[in-house]
Amino acid sequence: MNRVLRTQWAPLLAATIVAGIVLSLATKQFGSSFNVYTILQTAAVYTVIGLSQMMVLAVADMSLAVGGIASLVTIATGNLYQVQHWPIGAAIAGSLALGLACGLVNGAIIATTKLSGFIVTLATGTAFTGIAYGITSSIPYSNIASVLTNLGQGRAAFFSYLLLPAIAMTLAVGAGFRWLPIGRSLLAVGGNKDAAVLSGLSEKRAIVTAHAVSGVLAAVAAVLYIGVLQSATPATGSDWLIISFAVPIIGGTALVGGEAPASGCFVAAIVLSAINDALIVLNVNTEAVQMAEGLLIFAAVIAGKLGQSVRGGTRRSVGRPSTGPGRLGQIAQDAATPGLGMP
Amino acid sequence: MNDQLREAPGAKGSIPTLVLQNISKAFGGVAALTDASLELVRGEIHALIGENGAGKSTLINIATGVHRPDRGTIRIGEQVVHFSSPGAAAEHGVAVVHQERNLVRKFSLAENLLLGRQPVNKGLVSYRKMVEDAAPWLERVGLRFDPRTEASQLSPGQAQLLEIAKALTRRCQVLLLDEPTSSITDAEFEHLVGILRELRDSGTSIVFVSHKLEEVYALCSRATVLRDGRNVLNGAPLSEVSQGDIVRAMVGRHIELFASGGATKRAAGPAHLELRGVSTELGHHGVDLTVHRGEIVGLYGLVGAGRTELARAIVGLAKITGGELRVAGKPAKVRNPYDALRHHRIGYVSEDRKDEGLILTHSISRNVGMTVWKRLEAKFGWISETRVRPHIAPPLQRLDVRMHRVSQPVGSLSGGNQQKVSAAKWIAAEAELLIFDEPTVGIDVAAKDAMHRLIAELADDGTAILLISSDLREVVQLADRIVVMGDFRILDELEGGGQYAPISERVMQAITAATLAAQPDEHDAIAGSPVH
Amino acid sequence: MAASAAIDGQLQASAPVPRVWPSAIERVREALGTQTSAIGLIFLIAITWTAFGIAGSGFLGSYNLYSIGQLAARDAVLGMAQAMLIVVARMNLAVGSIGAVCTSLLGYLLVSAGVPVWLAFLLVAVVGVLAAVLMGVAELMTGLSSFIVTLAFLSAYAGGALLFTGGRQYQISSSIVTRLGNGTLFSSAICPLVAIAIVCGVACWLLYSRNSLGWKMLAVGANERAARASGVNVSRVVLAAYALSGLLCAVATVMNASYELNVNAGFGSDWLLPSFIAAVLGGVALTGGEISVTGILLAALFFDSLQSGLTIINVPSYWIELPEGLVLLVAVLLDRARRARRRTMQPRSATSTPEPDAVVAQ
Repeated sequence: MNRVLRTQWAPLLAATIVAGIVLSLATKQFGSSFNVYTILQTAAVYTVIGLSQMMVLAVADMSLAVGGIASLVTIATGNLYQVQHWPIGAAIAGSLALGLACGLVNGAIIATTKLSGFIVTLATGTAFTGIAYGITSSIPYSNIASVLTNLGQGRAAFFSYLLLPAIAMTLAVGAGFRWLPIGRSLLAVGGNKDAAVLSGLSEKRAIVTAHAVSGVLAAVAAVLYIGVLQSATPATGSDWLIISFAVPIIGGTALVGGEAPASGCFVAAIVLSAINDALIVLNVNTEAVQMAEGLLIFAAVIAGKLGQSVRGGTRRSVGRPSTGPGRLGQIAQDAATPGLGMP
Repeated sequence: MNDQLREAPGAKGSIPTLVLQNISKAFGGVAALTDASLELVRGEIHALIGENGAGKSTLINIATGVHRPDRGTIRIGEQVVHFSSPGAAAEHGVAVVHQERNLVRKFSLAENLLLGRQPVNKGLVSYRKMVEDAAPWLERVGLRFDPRTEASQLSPGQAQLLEIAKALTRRCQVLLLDEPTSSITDAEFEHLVGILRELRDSGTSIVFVSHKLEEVYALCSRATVLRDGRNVLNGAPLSEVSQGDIVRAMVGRHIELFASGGATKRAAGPAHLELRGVSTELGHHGVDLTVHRGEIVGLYGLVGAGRTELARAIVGLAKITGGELRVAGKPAKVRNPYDALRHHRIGYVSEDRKDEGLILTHSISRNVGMTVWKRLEAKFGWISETRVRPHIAPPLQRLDVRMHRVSQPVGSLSGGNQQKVSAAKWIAAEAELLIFDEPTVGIDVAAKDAMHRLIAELADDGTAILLISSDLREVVQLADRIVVMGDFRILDELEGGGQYAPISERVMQAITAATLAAQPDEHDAIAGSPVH
Repeated sequence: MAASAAIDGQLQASAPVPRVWPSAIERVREALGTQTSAIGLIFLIAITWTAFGIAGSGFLGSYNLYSIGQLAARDAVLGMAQAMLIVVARMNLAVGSIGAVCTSLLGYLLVSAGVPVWLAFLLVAVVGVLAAVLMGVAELMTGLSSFIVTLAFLSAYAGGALLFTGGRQYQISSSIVTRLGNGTLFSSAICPLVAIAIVCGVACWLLYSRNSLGWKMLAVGANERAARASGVNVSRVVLAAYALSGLLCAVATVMNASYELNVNAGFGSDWLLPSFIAAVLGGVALTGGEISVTGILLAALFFDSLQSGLTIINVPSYWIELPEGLVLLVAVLLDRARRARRRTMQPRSATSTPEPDAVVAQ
């Protein structure tokens, strides 16, 4: 319990629950079981999108290709099922493999060239989307397998069935980082690259793995979203960039790497989805939602930074502050973190 | 207390472990080590001492497989070995604990200890086994923590111990500690001492790199002193050499300085820079310092005394938290180097030439001109190379910077010429107070000579100069006044420009007196501690 | 003293003082040396034009060249807007969102408010600058990376623009604006926007070659610590870089609106990619401290020629996004390779120059 309270998203979740209760008392609509269902339905997809980005943030990299992979995977699923007449299970498996391949491409380019993930994934993400548009001529596949529709639209009262895969993914990612040796390596490389490398861990392997898993998760999110939209369109993913960063960052993932709070992603996704919904219920213009997301990211990052400096402050006061010029230089460099990570 | 310690196994009849013999190493034509040796025997704590740039780091890097020697041999016992990588050295049982903390802060102590080798059960990390495996090692270095504690909870000293434990898990026979005490408290130091002695007694050989001589005497049995990449002392038993001898061995330089030797006494002008009871965020307290116009004040101290840090506070790269800073008789507020340059004409020739002194990828003219653009620009900032040229040509000429074209990148110059460019920038800026921080470290003799002459000439022309140097001979010859610093305080102040021997004697006295004065209290405080 | 003076004397007698100030010809050669990417791009453009000229009918026709120029002009200005921040080792993810804010404002001022054109332009420019400076202030105050700051503002500004317009379309009918984006200049193949892009290019070139602000921006981008220690007011320079980036976004907005005419707050959502393509392909170092304005102009021209050519040879428009991504990827990889080669060559050039220090030391 104590550990839950200490997490960065705990106050946010508390505030959201309180606000949610107030809202459901004020308006009938917000608390209705159908409305809660829509919130959770959106939140489920957000969660997996966020997990996909979090994989890469864990190794202190980033991916702008989450949306691009989703676009390509979406039309792959649609094409394999509708045009190639694959059974839906095989179509989904093929799509996830494609997501894995896309992630491997990203990871391999970044690990071998040591370029920043930013610019590489900006390029590959666009290319993936481009292929998706090219193959479909921008026409969505409308014949969606009933399994996906049932999953995306199905509910038991307020409980969206999509939550099942979302929770499963959250647990799987969380467990992977906690129990798998490769998961620990990812966090070690993200947390302190030098320490990890000196201990014999491979930085390249960590980066490639992170991007590969990120690709698979983006594919999962895409497949889930097909059911929500009941259509496989290449436009999927075009507006995922902000969400993909907002979810893990609000969930407490540090941009500097070494952390992967999967449960935080889940909570943040619900919070974001609820805010989104509340603004609509309150008849606030939908566009305000987008503004709110931006400001939330900002607030979350600053809160994380403040939290760190408070925690760090007590620790540093133990010995005399180290004063070597090396340390000073580090501080100066930290303050001036250049935009494009790697040289 | 010391006597009893010095009885530790000495050179006679003991078993050699790691031996580096006649090692030479050059980087880009500049010799970092020349015939340097370090000979360890089983179960000893061996001090490796030397000023910055003396070659300690290079020697450690060679011992741990980071660099490969140009000449010389490395032996483990009787066997000649070649370390091709840090991994190879580790396999031979040589481990190093660096100054930087190589810990994953978010991981538990146990996991940091076993990083990359976490115990696995059916493909999953077994935390229970990890804790079990780690506990004895933590116990061994006296870290009485739950192994599941997050590493971020450790103080710097405890982190150091964790790293030692990490080295021990790899079954190291030789442990190199690179300035392990630079950021730890006295109590932590005492604890570390206890652990290291235990290790020594169980047969591990330890190399202890430190600038703090009192620590060296408290812990080590023999010392190797490097100066300019050569051995001055090679495994001398500390029972036979005094602290004064060690300091002299460290700082005495055999390079001839220019002959004038500060014989002409300058008539110092009015006080230009005055620090009164200044404290800084970096740890200075009650620092009083005055530099007059046309005067060279040498700021001497061992590494870690807080000299560079003081300079950084003066130019606004660190915050002054108390006391008063006056420039040209008026109270001054310097928030950043921009203020320092624009409003007070203070310049700082950084010791960190490559990262802070110069932009290596940019041309010589852009580097030198940077400080004068503001002054030369026309309306709306318009400027041209031709407009800058008359201001940067004289300093470049005066310093005799050897270059092909002013448009060539600074990174393509030799170290000495880079240093000249770094200084030329402040001459162009016509600084009234110029702080030189280790201006002659890592540069060749000719460039050194040029820097010395420049500093003297600038003072003759009325510039106030604060010279930070670890080269005592340089300070004695150049400075009109010598201020001795230690432990972020001013220890002593004396006239310069005289004979080297008496001055160096007094400087050494000031430094050793300060460290000795600090010692008794420490020992009293420690007497009751369980570690002792 | 005497000894070293003697050595100096010998040295000066034996070796004449070298001429260290580059001659005019050398300066031209040096300038060209930094333009390797620009020279490469000229070849690429020539190849593209020849290939598409042969393969597709009408590629070299005045109508097509006109539209290439129209698009390339805007993309070049976007590239410069991005480059302003890349030069100081930062980035601007919000170019498109500032564009959306400016577009909304321009539409409102011209259509709903009926403000005179010059005043509308001025206000749009002011707002563009303010929007960018606000991000700069946020970055400096929080010490966060420009990536996360501009990402947050990307979202906030885009939402704000939509909120402001309420999803309205603005049909701009001002004749000045119409002539700017759809008129002709000198020949029927040249859009007046090309002139605007060239004027911006010249201004940028002057900034980086003849203005102390541009010099300081390069210094901050190449080594922020060294620039700060040398008395450069880093915060001020960074804010100026943001301001210039915002100003160029505003200019790009006006250019974009002048040929689209029917505008809404959704404009700018697809600007991020062209802004990076123009900058990176043009040879702006992603690590900061280096710029090539001609490179940016040519990169935009090449990129839009390629796009247009693919359309001319009847590649379906759905495939257009793929080459965008691939061009950026290739550009980044080439830039990487070029820098790696230069780095390995540097030590050699350092040793090939005579080492006078060594002579004196003997």
